[in-house]
Amino acid sequence: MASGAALRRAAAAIAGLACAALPALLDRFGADGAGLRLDRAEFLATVDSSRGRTVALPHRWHDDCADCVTVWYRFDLPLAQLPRESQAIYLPAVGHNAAVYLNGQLLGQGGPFTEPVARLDDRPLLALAPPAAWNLGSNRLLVLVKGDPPQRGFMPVVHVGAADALADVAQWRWLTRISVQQVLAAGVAMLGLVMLLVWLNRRSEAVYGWLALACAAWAVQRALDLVLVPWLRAAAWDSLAALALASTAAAVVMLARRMTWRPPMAAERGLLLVPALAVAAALAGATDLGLRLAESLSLLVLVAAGVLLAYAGARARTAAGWLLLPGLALAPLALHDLLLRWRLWPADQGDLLGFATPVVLGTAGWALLTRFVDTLNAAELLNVDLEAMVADRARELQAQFARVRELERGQVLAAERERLMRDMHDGLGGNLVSLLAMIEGGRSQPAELTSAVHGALDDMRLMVDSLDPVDDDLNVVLAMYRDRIAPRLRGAGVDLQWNIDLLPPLPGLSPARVLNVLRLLQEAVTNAVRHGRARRIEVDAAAGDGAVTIEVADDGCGFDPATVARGRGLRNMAHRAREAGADLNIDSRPGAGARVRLRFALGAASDAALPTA
Amino acid sequence: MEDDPATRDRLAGIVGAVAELRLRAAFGDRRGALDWLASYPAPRVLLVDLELPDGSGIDVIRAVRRSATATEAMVISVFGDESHVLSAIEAGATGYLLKDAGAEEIGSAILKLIAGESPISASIARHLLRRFQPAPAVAATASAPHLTPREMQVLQLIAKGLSYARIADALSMSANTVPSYVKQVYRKLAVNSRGEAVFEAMQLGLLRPPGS
Repeated sequence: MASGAALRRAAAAIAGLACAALPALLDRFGADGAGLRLDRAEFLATVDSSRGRTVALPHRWHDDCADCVTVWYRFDLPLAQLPRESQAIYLPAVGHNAAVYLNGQLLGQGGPFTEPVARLDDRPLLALAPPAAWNLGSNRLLVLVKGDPPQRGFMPVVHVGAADALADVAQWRWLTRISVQQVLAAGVAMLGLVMLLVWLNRRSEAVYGWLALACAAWAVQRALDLVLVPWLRAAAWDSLAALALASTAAAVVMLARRMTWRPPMAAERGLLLVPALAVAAALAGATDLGLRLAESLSLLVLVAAGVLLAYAGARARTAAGWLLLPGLALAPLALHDLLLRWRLWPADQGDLLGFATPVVLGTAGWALLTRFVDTLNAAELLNVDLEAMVADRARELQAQFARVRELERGQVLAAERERLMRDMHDGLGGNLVSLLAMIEGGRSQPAELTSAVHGALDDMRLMVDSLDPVDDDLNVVLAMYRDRIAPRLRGAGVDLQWNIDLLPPLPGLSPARVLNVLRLLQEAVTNAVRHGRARRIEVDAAAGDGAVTIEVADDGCGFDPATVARGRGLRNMAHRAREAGADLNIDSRPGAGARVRLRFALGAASDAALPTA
Repeated sequence: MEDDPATRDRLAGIVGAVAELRLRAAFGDRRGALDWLASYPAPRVLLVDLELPDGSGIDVIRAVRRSATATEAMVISVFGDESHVLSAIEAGATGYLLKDAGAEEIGSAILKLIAGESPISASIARHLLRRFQPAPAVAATASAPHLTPREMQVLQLIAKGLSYARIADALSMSANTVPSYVKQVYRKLAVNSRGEAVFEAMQLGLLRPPGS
């Protein structure tokens, strides 16, 4: 990451320096030394003028002949001997079109002279002069120049020399001034397209939109500037170019403002005045002054935008931010072009902004993409973090659930243990205490003691039985009951009639309920044998009418349920029935036995079919 | 065979009091019982406590089942140890009685056993069902004993506490045949574990491998 940032910083610095060094670079490969340099010429308003004024080249003729559209420059070239090889006349740049004549013979021209006139501008013009074109002694070189509008017309220094050497120079100039700009303009157009696509998919990020607009406007401006033969009148053509430049400048300022990552200011709307001014200038008849003013304003805005970009980059202090530093290179080149517009710089130097702007826009695009990718990477990392966090949280929750489950299990166990203790205390404990009292009293018969011990053992069995899983099956409970009481009743000579049907399941038959049912039934039998002196006990169980009914009937002496003597035992049984979730009905009359009926209501859904045997 | 002298005396007294029964011998340990069985004719009924000071009564049940097929082994148990009773049945016991059962109860249980009726409680029936219906994963083991559907039905109804009469009703059979199904089940359990018993006997030196 660090090396990548350093690389980007170095690349940005190199790009910026290259922009600033371009004018110097270009001048190094000038035509000086390649033949004869003609920097003075005779300026003729018309070809018929027999004698003109001597002027220094490069020459802007508008100052000398304000109305002239077409002018002539005459050079006298005396020759002591004829050249053996082909010679060439070379014009590095011209405003706007030129034709070269030697001794009355047309050697070459830049393009059509009729409207719309070809615009050579930065294009070099090389006219070949074969040996046959030359005269021994005096030679007259005439250059016809047409400027449209004449304010922008100029005549450069002319070079005459060996064709080969000058062809190299012309080729080099073509490459550095025209080809490079064409490639850069195409690159800017591509960048604009990419940014447009990004912006269309991310409308919320206006910065991509502004960069796309700047690229598009700049590509248009360059295209207009680099076309040799325009297909509109020169005034309209120049107005369009001015509008494109103004739009570029405005868009770059907007871009720079958004690169500072601060909310846009209302004052920025003023920037829209720049293109508006260019439009106004164009509508006003596209006077040269109006266009010049509009272009100058655009250039100044562009300078400000470059400074703003560099400032935003420096403030950001990120790898992407350093890529904005080349914005500073806009300033000297734009100022150079500004001086050129106001004729304060040699006319043949040509625009330089065409080199700097693509670099600035390109690095800005690079910065945006870097930021975009960085954000993407960060989001990815964040996602990984988030996933890890979610996984952690899930694990935590699971652990928490496990703890809660453990706790609940512990609570259930504790509750069950407490119930067992209570049951043991109530049942077995009570039995043993009364047994102890009987033994200590010493008056009890062995049969009584035996019965008391059996009572204690029975209660213990009930408790052990109640802990067995019964799977909500009342049949199992009744089976336990039978296993316990049948031997005892046989021993006591009581006839047990056991009429049990298969019963439907009774949901929620917990150990506590089972124990209550068992104790209740046990008590019914014990009462029948001990108090009723029954000889026959009948236990019935059947399902019907949405309920299961268990009935213990005896043929004992019976009792009056209203009597107080039996009250406590009956209340106890009623309590157990409530705990077991059953309705208790005790029916007895003195001398007519007793009938204890337990009724368990089945849920609506458990009226299910009886289990098949 | 019972190691607790008081219980042994009580049982001896109960057996002695029943006219049809005669007490042949009583032991407090496993060694004495095995020695006696090796030198005297086998008894008709053998009462065996499982927890003996010098080993398990199950060995004695196996020994007697091997040598004297007419002898009925009866386990003396306390309530709540159905799994021990089941082990004893696998070793060849055909009955069980509870230590604290009444005297008449014990006497009649022995007589019924001699008459061919094996006792069974709902609880033992439930344990048996669990034994014969193992978890599906092990159901396919060859050693798992197979009960006929009829035997399974009888066991199921016993486990649900139905009387023999009701069971006979429900399954359309005579009430007298229900106990024979029970005995059948006991036998199957014992037969199933016989291979294991033979192996164990050889380990103990009670049996010699053939050909040696």
